[in-house]
Amino acid sequence: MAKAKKKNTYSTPYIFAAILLAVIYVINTLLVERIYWGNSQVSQQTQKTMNSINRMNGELQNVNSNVLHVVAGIGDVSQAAADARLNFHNIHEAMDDFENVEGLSDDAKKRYRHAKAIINTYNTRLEEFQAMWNKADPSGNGKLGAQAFGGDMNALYTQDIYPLQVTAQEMLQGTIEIVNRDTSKKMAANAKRSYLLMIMMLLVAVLGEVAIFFIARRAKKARLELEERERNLAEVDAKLKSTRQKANDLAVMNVLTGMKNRYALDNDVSDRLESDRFNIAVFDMDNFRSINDTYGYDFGDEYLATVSEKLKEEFGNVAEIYNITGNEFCFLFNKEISESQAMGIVQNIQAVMSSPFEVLNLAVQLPCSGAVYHYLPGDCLNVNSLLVKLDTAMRSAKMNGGNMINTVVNI
Amino acid sequence: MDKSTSKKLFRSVAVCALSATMLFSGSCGKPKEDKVTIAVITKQDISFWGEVKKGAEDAGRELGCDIIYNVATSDNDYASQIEFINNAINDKVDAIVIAPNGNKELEDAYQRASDAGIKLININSRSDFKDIITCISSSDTDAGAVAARHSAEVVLNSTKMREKFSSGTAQAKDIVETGSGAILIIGHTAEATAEPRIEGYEKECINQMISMAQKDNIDITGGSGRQPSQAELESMFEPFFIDDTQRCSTVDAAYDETMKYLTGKDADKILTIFATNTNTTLGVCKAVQEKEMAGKIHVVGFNSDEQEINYLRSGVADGLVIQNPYTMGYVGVSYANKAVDDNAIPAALDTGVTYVSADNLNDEYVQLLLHPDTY
Repeated sequence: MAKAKKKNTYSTPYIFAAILLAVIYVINTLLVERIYWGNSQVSQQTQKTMNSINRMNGELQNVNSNVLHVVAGIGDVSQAAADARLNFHNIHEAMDDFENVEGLSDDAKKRYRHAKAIINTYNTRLEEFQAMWNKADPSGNGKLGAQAFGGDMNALYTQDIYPLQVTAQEMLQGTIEIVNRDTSKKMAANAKRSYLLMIMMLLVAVLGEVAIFFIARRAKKARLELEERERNLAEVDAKLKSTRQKANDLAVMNVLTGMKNRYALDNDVSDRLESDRFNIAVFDMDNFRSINDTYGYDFGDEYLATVSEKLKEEFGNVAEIYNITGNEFCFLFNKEISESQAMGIVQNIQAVMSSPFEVLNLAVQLPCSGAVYHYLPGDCLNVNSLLVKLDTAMRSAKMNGGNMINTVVNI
Repeated sequence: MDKSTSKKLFRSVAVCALSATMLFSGSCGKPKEDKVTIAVITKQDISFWGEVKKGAEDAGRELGCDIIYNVATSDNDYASQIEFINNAINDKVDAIVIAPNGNKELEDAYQRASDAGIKLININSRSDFKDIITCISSSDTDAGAVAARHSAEVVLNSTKMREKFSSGTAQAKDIVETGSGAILIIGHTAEATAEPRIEGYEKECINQMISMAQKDNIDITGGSGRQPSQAELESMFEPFFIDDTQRCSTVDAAYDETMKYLTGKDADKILTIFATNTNTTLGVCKAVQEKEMAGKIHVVGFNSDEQEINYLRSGVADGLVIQNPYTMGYVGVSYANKAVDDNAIPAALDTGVTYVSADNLNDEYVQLLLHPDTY
C-alpha cells in the first residue's frame, strides 16, 4: 500500500501536466472554432448584404433605363410604368433582405437609410408623373402626356429625376464601401485574434514545457530525497536491529567466552522440562582459583577463553554449550544423542578440558570434574532445580578428589 | 538550479519568444498604407456649408480618411481660400475638395496644388482650371428653373393675371405696366452661381407662362394672331423681371435692396421675389415681414438655413429651393478618395435641387435634406 502511494506521488505532476495540456488544447480548439465561425458569419453577412445592395442597384438601373426611354420618346409609357413598378417591387424586396441582415454598423445603416429615402422619393415622384401623364393623356397620345410637363421632358428629367438616380446610386455605393470596410475590419480583427491566439498558444506551450520541466525536475528531486530518506531509515533500522540483537546476545551470552550464559540455558530448556527427554552435563575446572591466584585474573580469563574455543570446536556439533558461571560449562546434548553416546562424549569432554592448553606461551593443565544427567520429562520443576541436581553431583565428585564424572541419579 | 542550466533555460525561452515574435511580425508585416488626408474648403460660415462639412466628415469617417476643414469668411473671400490651399500643400494633403469663391483668382493656387500632385475636386461650382477632376454640384440653371416653375404658377394663378389673360388681349408689357405682377430678383454677389440661377429662373418662368397660356388657349400676342418666335416671346415677357438690382453679399444688403423696391414707386407691381442664396433670402424675408406683406408678395428663396425654414413655416416665404449640401460634401470626399487611388470617377455629378414649401416640408426626402446627419 505504501508502495502504491509512493507511485501516486511520483505520477501526480505528470497527470497534472497532462490535464493542463488537455485543457489548453480544448480552449485552443474552442477559440479556433470561434474564430472560424466568426469569419464564416462575416462572409455570409457580407454576401447577403452585397446581394441585396447589388439587386437594388441593378433594379434601379432598370428603372433609369425605362425612364430614359420614356424621356427619349421611345417605347410604351404604360409598359415602362408597369416595368418600373415591378422594379420597385424587387427593390423593396431587396430592402427587406438588407434590413434583415444583423450586425451592420451604424454607418452602414445610416448610409442605407439615405439611399432608401432617395429611392422611395424617386418611386413616389415617378408615380406622380405617371398619374399626371395619364390624366393629361388618357388616350395614350404621347404628345399630350408630354404637354403635362410643359412639353420639356428633358428638363424635367434633368431637374427632378436624374439627381435622385445618381444620389441614390452614390448612397448605395457608399453603403457597399462601408460594408466592405466593416468586413475588412472584422476580418482583420479575426486575423489579429488568430495571431494573438497562435502567440498565446506558443507561449502557453513554451511556458507549459518549462513548467513541466520544473515539475519533473522537482518531482525527481523529491523522489531522490525520499529514496535517500528511506535508505537512511533502512540503515537506522538495520543499526537498531543490530544493536537490539547485540543487546539480546549480551543478555544471553558470556562476554569472555562468547558462549551462551545461564539465562540462555534457562530460555532454551524451560519449555522442555515437562515434556522432553534429553542428556545434559556440567563440567568445572578443579581448583581453577589457583590459576587466578598464580597468574592473575587476565591469564585466568585467557585460559577460559582458550578452553571455550576448544570445547566449541570439539563438541559444538553434538551439544549446545553454555558458560553458566566463571569456569563452569554446561552441555545440552542434541536430541539424537543417546544416553550411552552422551556418556562417551562426557568422557571426551573431561579429557579435552583436562588436557594441557598453551596460554600466553605457558602450558597450563587442570583436571576437571563433571556431572551428567539423563533427564526424563517432569524430573524438575525448573532449570534451577535441574542445575542444583547437576551441581550437587559435580560437587560430590570434587569432594571425592575431583577429576571424575558423577551421574545424577533419579530418585 | 545551477548557473549553466539557468542560462540554457533562458536561452530556450528567448528563442521561443523570438520565434513567436517573428511569426507574428512575419504575418502582419505588410506595411500599413498611409491614411488619405483630404482638405475641404468651403465658402462661408453659414448653415449650408455646415451641412457640407457634416457630409465630408461622415464620408471621412466611413472611408477612413482624415479631413481638414476650412471655411472662408464670405462668398467672395478668395484670399482666405488661397491661404487654405497653400496650407493644404504644406500639410501634404492628398486631395483638396473646394467650393471656389473665385475663378481666375484661384488659378495660381490650383496650379501649385496640382504641381504638388494633389487631386482637385470642386463642389457647388466649377472653376475653369484644367486639373479640376470633377465637380459635385446642383446645376444652378436647373435650380433657377425649378424655382421658376413654382413662381410662374403663382404669377399665372394670381387673380389679376388671370383676368388679364382671360381677356385674351393682354400683352406681357401691359400686364406689368398695369400693376398685375412683376418678379423682383435679389441676387447674391458670387457671379458663378447667382447669374446662372437668375438666367435659369427667368428662362423657365417665360417657358412656363407661355406653356400655361397655350394650354389654356390664351392669346398673349395681343390679338395679332401670328405665333411669335421664341425670341419674341422672351422679349415680350422680359418686363416681368426686375433684375437690375444691386447684387448683395450679406443679409443686411439684401434687406436694404428689397426695402428699396418695396417702398419705391413700383412696390405695388411686385407679386413675386426671387432670392438666389441664403443671405438674400433672409434679407428679402426680413423686409417682407417688416412690411407685413407676407401672403401678398410671394417669396421664393434658396437653401435651408434654420431661419429660412422658420420663414417658410410662418408663411413669409412661399418656397425654398433646397440644394443637397450634405451629399456634396459626402460625394466630394468620396470622389477625392477614389481619385487619390486613381479610380475612375464621373466628370460631374448633379446632386439636384428640391422645391420645398409648407406642403411638402415633412416629406421623407425633404427631412433627409434638412437633417441629413441625424436621419
